Amino acid sequence: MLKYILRRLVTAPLVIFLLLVITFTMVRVAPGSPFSSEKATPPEIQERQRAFYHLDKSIPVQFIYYLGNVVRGDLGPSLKYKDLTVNEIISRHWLPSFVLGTTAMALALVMGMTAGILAGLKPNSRWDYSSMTISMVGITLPAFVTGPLLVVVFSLKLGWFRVSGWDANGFSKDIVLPAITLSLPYAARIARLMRAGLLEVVNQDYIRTARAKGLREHVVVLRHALKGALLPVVSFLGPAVAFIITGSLVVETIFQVPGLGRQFTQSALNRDYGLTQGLVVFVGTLLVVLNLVVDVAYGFLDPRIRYD
Amino acid sequence: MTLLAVSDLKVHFPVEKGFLIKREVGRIRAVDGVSLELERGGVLGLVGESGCGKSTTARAIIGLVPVTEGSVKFQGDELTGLRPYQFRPIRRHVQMVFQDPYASLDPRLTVGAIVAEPLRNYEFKRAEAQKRVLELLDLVGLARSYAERYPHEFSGGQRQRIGIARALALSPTLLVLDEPVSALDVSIQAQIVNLLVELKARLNLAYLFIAHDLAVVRHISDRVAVMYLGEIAELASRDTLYARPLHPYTQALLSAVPVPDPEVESQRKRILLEGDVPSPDREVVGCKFASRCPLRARADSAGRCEKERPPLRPLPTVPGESEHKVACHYAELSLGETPPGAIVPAEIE
Amino acid sequence: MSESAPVVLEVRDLKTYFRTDDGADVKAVDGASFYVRAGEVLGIVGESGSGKSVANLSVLRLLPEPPAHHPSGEIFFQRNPTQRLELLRAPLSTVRKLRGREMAMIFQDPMTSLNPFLKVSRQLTEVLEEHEGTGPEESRARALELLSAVGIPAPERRIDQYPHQFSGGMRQRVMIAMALMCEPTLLVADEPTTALDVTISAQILDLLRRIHGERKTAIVLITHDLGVIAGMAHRVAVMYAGKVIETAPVRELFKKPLHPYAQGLLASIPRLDATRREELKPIGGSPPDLRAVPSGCAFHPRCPHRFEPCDKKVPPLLEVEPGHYAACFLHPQDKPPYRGPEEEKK
Repeated sequence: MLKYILRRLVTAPLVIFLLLVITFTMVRVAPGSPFSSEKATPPEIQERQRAFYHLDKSIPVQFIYYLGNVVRGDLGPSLKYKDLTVNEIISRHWLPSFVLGTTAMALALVMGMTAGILAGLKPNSRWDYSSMTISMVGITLPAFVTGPLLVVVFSLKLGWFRVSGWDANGFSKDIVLPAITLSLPYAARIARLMRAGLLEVVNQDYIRTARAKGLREHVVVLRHALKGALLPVVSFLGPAVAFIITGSLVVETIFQVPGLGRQFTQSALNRDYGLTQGLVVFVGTLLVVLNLVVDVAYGFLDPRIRYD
Repeated sequence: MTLLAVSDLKVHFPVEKGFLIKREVGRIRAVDGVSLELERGGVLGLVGESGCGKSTTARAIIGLVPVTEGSVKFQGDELTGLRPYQFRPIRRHVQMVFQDPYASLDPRLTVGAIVAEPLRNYEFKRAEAQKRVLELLDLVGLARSYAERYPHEFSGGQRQRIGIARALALSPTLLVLDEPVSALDVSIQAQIVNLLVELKARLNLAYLFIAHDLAVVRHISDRVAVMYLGEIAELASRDTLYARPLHPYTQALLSAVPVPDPEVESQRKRILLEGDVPSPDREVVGCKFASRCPLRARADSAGRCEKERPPLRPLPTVPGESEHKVACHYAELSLGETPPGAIVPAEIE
Repeated sequence: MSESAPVVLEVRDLKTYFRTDDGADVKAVDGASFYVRAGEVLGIVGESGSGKSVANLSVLRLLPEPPAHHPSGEIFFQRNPTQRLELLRAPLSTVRKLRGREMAMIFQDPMTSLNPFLKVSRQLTEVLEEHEGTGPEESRARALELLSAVGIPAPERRIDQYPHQFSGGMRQRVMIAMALMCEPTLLVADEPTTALDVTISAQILDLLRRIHGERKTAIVLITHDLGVIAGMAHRVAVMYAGKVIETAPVRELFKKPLHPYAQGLLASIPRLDATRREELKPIGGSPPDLRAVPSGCAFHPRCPHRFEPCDKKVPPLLEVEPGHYAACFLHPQDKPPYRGPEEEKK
C-alpha cells in the first residue's frame, strides 16, 4: 500500500505537467490578450508590458519561464491585478470557498446518505419514490434557481438571513443559504449513488447469508451491506470534494461570497493568463491528491483490492 | 488416419509487474506439455477439475489463445503460428461448441441467421445457405419453423441444439466440445448426449469432448485423457481407464464421483485427497501431483517424486491394449490391485 | 433411521408464490409437504425450477415478502421436546431468533455467500454474539475450535483472513463452521457441492457425513445430483414444478421409482458403474415454465405413460407401497393419502 501511494505521488507531477501544457496552450490560443481593453494603450507601453511578462518571447520559451516558477512554488504574477501575485490571490480567497465548500459537503453527505439508505432499504416504497423525486429535482435545478428561491423565502419573506454578503470573520449565519444551495445537487447525487449501491449489495448472496444467521436487520445493513454500498459514493466524493471546496461561481456570485470560484471565471474573462493557469494548477493538484485519497480509501474498504 | 496431433503443447500466460516498463515476474502454466492424438471419427474425452487446463488446451487447438510452445497438426498441417487468414480454410473443418448456451448465441439474430452465419462467412449463396439451415435444423431435431425465431424463446437444451447446428453448418470433420452439457438440467443432458452420439455415427465426426463429469465422458468417449495442472496424468481407452486407473489422481477422481445407487454408495471406500489443487503459477520440478498424492507416502522413499518429473509413459495393462499411458513413477504399484472406489464393469472382469 | 425419532421440521402443503409486476403469480412452490426427523438426512431432488430451494428459503422465511407470499401451508419446527412453533405465520422476529441458532443454512456458492468485506473471524463470531450474547474471546475460541473441526489447517492464522484468501472448498468449510456455531438442531444445505470440483466435493460430503455422525444434526440436503442423494440421504423427496411427486426411503426410491419422472431421471443419467455403453433414455421436452405450468399433472406433457386423466386432474400423493408415496394416476388410487409423519406412526 505504501509503495502504491509513493508511486502515485511520483506520477502526480506528470499529470499536473500535462495539465499545465494543455491550459498554457489553450489560454494562448484563445483570441484576445490581457492588455486588450476598451481603452487603447499606446503601442510602446503595450510593448513594454509584454516584455515585462515575457509575452514577447515564443510560446515554448514562455512556458519554460513559467514552469521554472511553478516548480519553485511561485504561480507568477496576475496580469490584471497589477500588484498581486497569483499566490496572493489564492491565499486571500481560498478560505471562504473552503469553509463554504466543506460545510456544503458535510451537509450533502448527511442528507444524501440518510435519504439514500432509507430509500435503498425500502425500494419502491413511498419514502423511496419521494426522496428519489426530490433528488431528481435537486440534480436538475441549477443553483441560480434554488439560490434566489431560498433567498425569497428565508430572507425576504421570513427575514431569517441576509440576502447576501459574507462575514469576513468566517463562520456566521451568512453561510446557511449558500451552503444549502451548494449542497443540494451533491446531496442528490449522493442519495442516488447510495441507493443504487445498497440495492445492488442487498441482492448479494452474502446478505442472504447474514440474514440466515439470524442477525438483526440493522446489523445486516450496517455491518454487512454498508461497506460495499459505499464504494460508488466514495469514488464520486474525490472529484466532488475538489470542485466543491475550490468554489462555485454561481453560488459565490449570488451570495457575494469572496471566494475562488469568482476569481476563476473573472480570470478567464480577463485573459489573465497567470491567474487562470495558477488556478488550474491549484485545482488540478487538489484533484490528483483527492483521487489518491479515494483509492487509498477503497483499499481500506475492500480487502480484495491490493495495490502493489 | 490421424486427424489431430498435438505434441508438447504449452500455453503460458505471463504475469507482468512493474510500473511503466512491464517485466515478467512469473507465468501461469495453463497448459504445460500436452500431447494427444485423435483419429478421424474418434472421440477423445478430456477430463479434469477446474484450472487443469482442459479448456485452454481446446482453445489453443482452434487458435483462440496463443500457443507458447509445441505443435498442433490438423490432417498433417501445422496450425501454430498461422495468421488469421491462413487459419480460415482450416477453421471450417474444426468447429467448437461452447458450454453456455445462453451466452454463446447472439440474442438479436434469428436462429436461422445464427446457423447461417458460418455459411455466409464462407461465401455461400443465399438460397443455398437457406436450404442448408433447414437441413441442419432437421439434423439436430429442431422444427424448421424455428429458423424465424429468436434464441430467448428457447430452453437451454434447444439452444444447445442451435449451437450444435451452427457448428455443423460447414460439415466439419472435428468438433471441439467444451463442457457442452454441464450447464443443462439433468433430464436434458441425456438428450444432448444422445444427439451427439447419433450425429457422430451419422456424419463420421471426430470429437474432442471436454468435461468435468466423468460419467458423461465415459458414456461418449473411445479414449480418455485425465489432466492435472496443465499436464496429462493418464491416457487410455475408455474401459481401461475407468476399470484399471493407474495414476493415483485418476483413482482419486473416480472414487470421488458419487454413483446414483445407495447400495453401491454404502459399500464404497473413497480416496480423499488432501487440500486443493496448487496454483499453476509455481514452477514445479518434480511431479505436479506430489503435494496431494496418497501413493507417494508409501512408495516414494527415494524422494523421486519431488525431484523428477514423471514422463507420460506407456504401460500396457490389458493384453491387446495398445495404449495406456501414465505419468507416474510408481504406476506399477497399482497394476495388480483394484483401487478402492473404482467400479469395475462386469464385462471387463 | 428410527421411525420414532421426533420430527424436527414438518412442512405441510406449502405454497410459495411470487407476485409479478403484471399481478400474476409465479407458483414456485405449489403444495409441497415433507418432514425431517432428528438425526435424519432428508434429500430433496429436483431440477432448476422444481421449487426445492425456494421451499427451504420459505422455511427460514428468507424470501422478501412481497413479492413472495404464502397462500397456504404450515411449517412446524420442534424447538425442544415441549415447544413446537409454526413458522409461516409467526412474527419474523421469532423466526429470526431461530435462524443461525436452531436452524442453520449452507448455500451453493461459497464464493459469493461469504461477505468479502469482513474477516472470517467476524463472520463466525457474530453468530454467537447475536444469539447467545457470548463475549468476543469466548466466541473466538469457539470459532477456532470449529474451524479446526471442519478441517481448516492453521486456524489461528486463517481466522483473521478475508474470504478471498480461501479456496472454494475452504470457503465452503468456513460456511459449514459458521452454520455450526450455535449447534443447530436443523441444517439446511442447499446444493452445498454443486459449485465445487469433484475431489473437493467429495471432501465436503465427507465432512457433512462426519458432522452428521458426530452431532446427529437433522439435515435437509437439497441437490440435483442423484449420486449425492444416494450417498447421503436416508429419505428422499423428489420435487417437480413446485410439488413433491414422490417420497420414500432412499433405497426404495432408487430400487423401484414409482413416478415416471423419477424413473426417467434415473434412466437418463450416465452412470460410472453402468455395465456397458447403453443408450441413455432422456426425458423428452423441457422442465415447465413456472408462469405457465401444464394443467393436471405438471409432468404430463413429458410423460411417456400419460393417459386420459393426466392433463385434467392433479394426482394426489398416495402411499402406493408402505412408506413409499407417489403422485401418479398409473398407480391404484384407493391407497391412503399422504398425511405427514404423525399418521405414519400408527
